[in-house]
Amino acid sequence: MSAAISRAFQPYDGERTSSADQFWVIPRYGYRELFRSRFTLILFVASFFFPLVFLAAIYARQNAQVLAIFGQQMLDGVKIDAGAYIVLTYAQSWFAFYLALWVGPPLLGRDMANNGLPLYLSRPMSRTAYIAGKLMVLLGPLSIVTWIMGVFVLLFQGSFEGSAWLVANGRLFMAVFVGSWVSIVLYSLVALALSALLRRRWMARGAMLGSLFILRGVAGIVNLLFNAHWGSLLSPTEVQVTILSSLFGQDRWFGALNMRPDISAGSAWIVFGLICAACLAVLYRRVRAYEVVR
Amino acid sequence: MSARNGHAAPGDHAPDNLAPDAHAADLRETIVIKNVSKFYGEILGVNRVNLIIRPGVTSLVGPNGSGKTTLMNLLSGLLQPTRGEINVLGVPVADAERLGRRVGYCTQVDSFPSGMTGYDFVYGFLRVGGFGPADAKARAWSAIERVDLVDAAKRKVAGYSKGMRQRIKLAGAISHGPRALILDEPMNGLDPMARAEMAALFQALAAEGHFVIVSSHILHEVDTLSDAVVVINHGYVLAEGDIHDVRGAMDADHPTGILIRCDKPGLLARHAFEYDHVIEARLHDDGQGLLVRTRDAEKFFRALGEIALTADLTIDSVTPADDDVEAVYRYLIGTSGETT
Amino acid sequence: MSEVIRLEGLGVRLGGRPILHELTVRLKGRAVGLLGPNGAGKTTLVHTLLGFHAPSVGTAQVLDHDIRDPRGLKAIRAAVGYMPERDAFLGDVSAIRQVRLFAELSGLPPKAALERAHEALIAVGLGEARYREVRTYSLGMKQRAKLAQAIAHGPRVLFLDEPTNGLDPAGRARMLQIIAEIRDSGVTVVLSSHLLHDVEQVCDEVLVLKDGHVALHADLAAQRQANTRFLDVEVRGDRPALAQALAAGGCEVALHGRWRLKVVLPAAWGMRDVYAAAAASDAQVRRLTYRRHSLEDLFLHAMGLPTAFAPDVEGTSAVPQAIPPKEAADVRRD
Repeated sequence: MSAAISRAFQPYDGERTSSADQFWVIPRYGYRELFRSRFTLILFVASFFFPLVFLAAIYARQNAQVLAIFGQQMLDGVKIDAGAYIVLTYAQSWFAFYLALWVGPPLLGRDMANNGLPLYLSRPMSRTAYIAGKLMVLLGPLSIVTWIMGVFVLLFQGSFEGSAWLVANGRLFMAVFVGSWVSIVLYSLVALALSALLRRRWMARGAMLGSLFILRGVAGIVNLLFNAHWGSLLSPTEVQVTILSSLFGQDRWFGALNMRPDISAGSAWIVFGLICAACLAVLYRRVRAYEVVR
Repeated sequence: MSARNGHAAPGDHAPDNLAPDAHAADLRETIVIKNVSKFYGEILGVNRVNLIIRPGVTSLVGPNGSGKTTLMNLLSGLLQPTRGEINVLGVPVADAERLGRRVGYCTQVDSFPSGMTGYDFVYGFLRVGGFGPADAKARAWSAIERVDLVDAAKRKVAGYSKGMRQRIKLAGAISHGPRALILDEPMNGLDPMARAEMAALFQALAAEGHFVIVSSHILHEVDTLSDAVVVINHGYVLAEGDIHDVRGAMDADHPTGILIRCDKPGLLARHAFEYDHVIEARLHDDGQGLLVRTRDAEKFFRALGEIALTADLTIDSVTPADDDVEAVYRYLIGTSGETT
Repeated sequence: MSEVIRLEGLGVRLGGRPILHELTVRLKGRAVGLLGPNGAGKTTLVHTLLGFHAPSVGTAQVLDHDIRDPRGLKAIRAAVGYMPERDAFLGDVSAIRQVRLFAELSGLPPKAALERAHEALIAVGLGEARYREVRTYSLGMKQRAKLAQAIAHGPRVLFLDEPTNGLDPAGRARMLQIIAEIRDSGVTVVLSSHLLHDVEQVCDEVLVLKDGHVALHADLAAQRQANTRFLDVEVRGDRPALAQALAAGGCEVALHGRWRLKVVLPAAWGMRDVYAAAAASDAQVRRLTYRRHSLEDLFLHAMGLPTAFAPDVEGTSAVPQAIPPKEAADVRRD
């Protein structure tokens, strides 16, 4: 027994991993924990819904038999164009939001609830590496749910419409990609920042959900009070819609509804940047190895 | 046993270790726990405890979950026994008001209302206890002085170090002048100087005739500080009394070991074996000492004294190998550590 | 033995206030005790060596890596284990999962990390419980899990902050035994504690801080070489009479505890004379040992407080400080 004990205590002399390898430890362990919750799986599967509907619609338009049943009217009615993709991207961003809300808080909450941070930060990893590692865990699922599915649908349509269509609609690819990343970055940072601030996962989740709707209401009130439009800058949903509209170059959703609030794309991007910066500031302040007591 | 002062005298059977001719007058000078059990539903707190606690410093030792806190809650009246009786200085524990005046309790709880200063804490406690403003103020300052927190008394408790919080809690417990103090790990978090000061305070209080009942995990401190020790495990009292008496009583099963360093250990061994309470004498590894095991420590030390003066050898040092709380704890409870 | 930790004029400011004042010390022991009153700067020192704070002045080296050099700091953290004072664990994760996570973060390849995590948990006595979530553990088990994560990656230096906090006597004895075994395996242990007894048992070097200064740096091993006229005597019977008899014979005597005396023998006296005095006074000698200055004497002396006998400071490097009056204003936690 004493042989086993002394071996356990002896200094380690073997091979050591590189900083890059060490960086991936947190994402690896994070992914292992990811589907521990059944609800995560449910959300994830549910997020396939709209893309599947799109895929079905795209296929239906090409399929002679279906056309025979429904007729040419349907062909004109169900147009899969920029107006449709902006809706798809927006819808998927909501799934991304709920995924981030569900998965994000435990990532930090688990570490902070019982003072686990000193254990991380007394190791050769910087705060940046820690935060980035946690972000990585979110980036995978959120990417799949947003731009990966979006680009897949685009390619699916492209396979039917031909390379000319693909070239003509290159902007769609860019818009789906960038628009998705705006959601991913925004929601990941907000989820992590709120959980660093509030620590308890349900409080962070509640705050994330509540703030979205509350800010929307506040934006509306401000607009009313000041008879202006800049109030919409306070609401993240309006900001996101503005950015999407400008990326797609498209005001009309499904060709009909004009969803765009009356604020400039430039100001929307600035607000987006400010929110992200604020989240990073909160994260860097709260991710510490010790609590400073005044 | 006669009824006295209107309260029912403790039952018909005297606790085993009260002398038959002890009477009610003695009861006002002791804390008597008679056949007390406490259950929380099915869960055991303490089981058939019989104890008499006298003035002085009494330490409770035992693993976590052994019943120390239950016992202290029972003594302070926070809990009532499921069976049996407890009498604190002549007051049954059911009589909360009279008990409260005689007992000061200092728990492990470490939270205070925010914004409260140290002085407020003690003063408020006194006022709630029924003391008038002037009286409470005087007593509060007196208690604060005793624990040496006068400079910090007007500052918020939230800003205190752990040691200072322990001391202000102690001030609260002694402020109303109780005769008995029940303190749950009072030295937790104190630095060595504060520990020494608090130990000195306990001894001073004991000298004044108070009952100072302390629970602690730091056994060597218990050794130097206590007049009596109560060893408890699984809700049972395993041993109680002066630690050396307790150790002596265990000699039959655990013969006392004593290490004697001298210039002629062989000669010492020959002398030692002349006494039949000595059952083992072993040369220490370096050849300069003798480890003796005896069934009767008392007799052996007397014998050693004679050997030291008459035999042709020079004793260098005498060290009991296990005549302390640590050893008693080890023998009674062991290092199995099933609770931690 | 080469120096494991070197402080060179190390000064640290926190929140605008100086906490550590230009400490210069070289620590080479196998086990170093870090002592001092609350607010003296012990935790700040450990945090600075781990790189949680940057020094404002001076520098320090751990295992020959400088804390001011970012790469040096990384190297230090890979070679060091830290057991914080407060509870520190990942709640709903099993012990084995977290210990291997932290081992991998310290630079071990995954398989080696898993192996050593198992070994560490078994070595601290959590063999059976290691697959359970740590939030289900008792206090003592949590302490041991904290220790396991600190040693699983095989550090050369181990920082322990109050490792026996909250443990019952059996748990304390076990923890100290494990720490002693770690020390004997060649790991340098830095033990910060309020319990002088723990430090005395485990450490052979002590560093005492007060108000951010070094109050004492002593080699306990050297101190333990007995060569003195100081005695520790424990008696039964008439202690005051014995004290008088000893004093009458020219000894310095101080009473201590309930049954003890500290005695300094005059040159002419031997042990036999002590026994003679005891016999004459109807006191029975129960314990008789040379009392090398205990850590307590050294500590009190370093704090500027009276002790029974002023220790000779040979073998220590005490830097007597002008000790400010006992400050209850010393609320600052470090």
